[in-house]
Amino acid sequence: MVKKILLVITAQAESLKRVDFVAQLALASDAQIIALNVVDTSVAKHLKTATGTSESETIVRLQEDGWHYLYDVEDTCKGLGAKIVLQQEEGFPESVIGNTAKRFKADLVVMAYSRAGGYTQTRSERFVTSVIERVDCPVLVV
Amino acid sequence: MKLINCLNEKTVEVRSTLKERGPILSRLVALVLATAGFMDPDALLGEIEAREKLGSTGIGQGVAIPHVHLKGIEGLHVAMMTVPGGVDFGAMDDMPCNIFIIVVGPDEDREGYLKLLAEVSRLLSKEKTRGTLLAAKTPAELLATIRDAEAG
Repeated sequence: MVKKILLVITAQAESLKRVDFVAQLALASDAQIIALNVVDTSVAKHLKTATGTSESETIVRLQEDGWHYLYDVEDTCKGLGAKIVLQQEEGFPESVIGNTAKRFKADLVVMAYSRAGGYTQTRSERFVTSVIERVDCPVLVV
Repeated sequence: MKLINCLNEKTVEVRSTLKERGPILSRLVALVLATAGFMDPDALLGEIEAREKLGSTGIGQGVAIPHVHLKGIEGLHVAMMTVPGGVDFGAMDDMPCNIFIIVVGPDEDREGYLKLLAEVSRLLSKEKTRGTLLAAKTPAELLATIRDAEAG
């Protein structure tokens, strides 16, 4: 039985669009959703160059955006009556997701897949594959 | 929206000795209604408890942020309490919670409510800020810590 679902929030439109589905899945199996956002601090270095803002300012922005997404997801799940807790971590996303799934003994990891095509889709494929290699439980890609 | 603009000395309490989840939530509700009696305390407590039943609002590292948005209220309302002894709040990391912030907002300003929750969560993710908040001996000291953290 699935009792703990680790929902990876990648701050992508894809992951937010599929929250309803995950909430229904959780309700059907009386499972708890652990919504996880990972702040990839290494991205801040690249964004610093692109945006001209300092690395620390960029990290603050990423942290706030992450929490904003998480509370948005929570609000949707709450509206449907699904059980949910929030987690935000920092680090290399694939590793953090793997470690979090083990730490909280997740029965299922749910993550979004981008069908946008081109580089975005290739990056999404690599990300999903990398997570699958790091977790012991099944991964549902939606 | 800055957290400091939502707090005052009547809506914060330091060094509480409460030891259980229920009294903590009741006290937070009383604090958040201290300067703006925007709704019945029992009704608000019921809403907060209903949210907690869907999963603890303990976000780890000793921080819990009970929150709810409701129809028919105006503005964002916040109260804060430190409980150095810590209380089991069912947080995912199994750590007792010792910093509590209640956030109540209107349905009509969901975006402002989400932004404030994000700001509060980010602010309290800093270990140094949490340590200084727990060390505060008076409401004024706690408010000064929030002001400094948001400025820095």
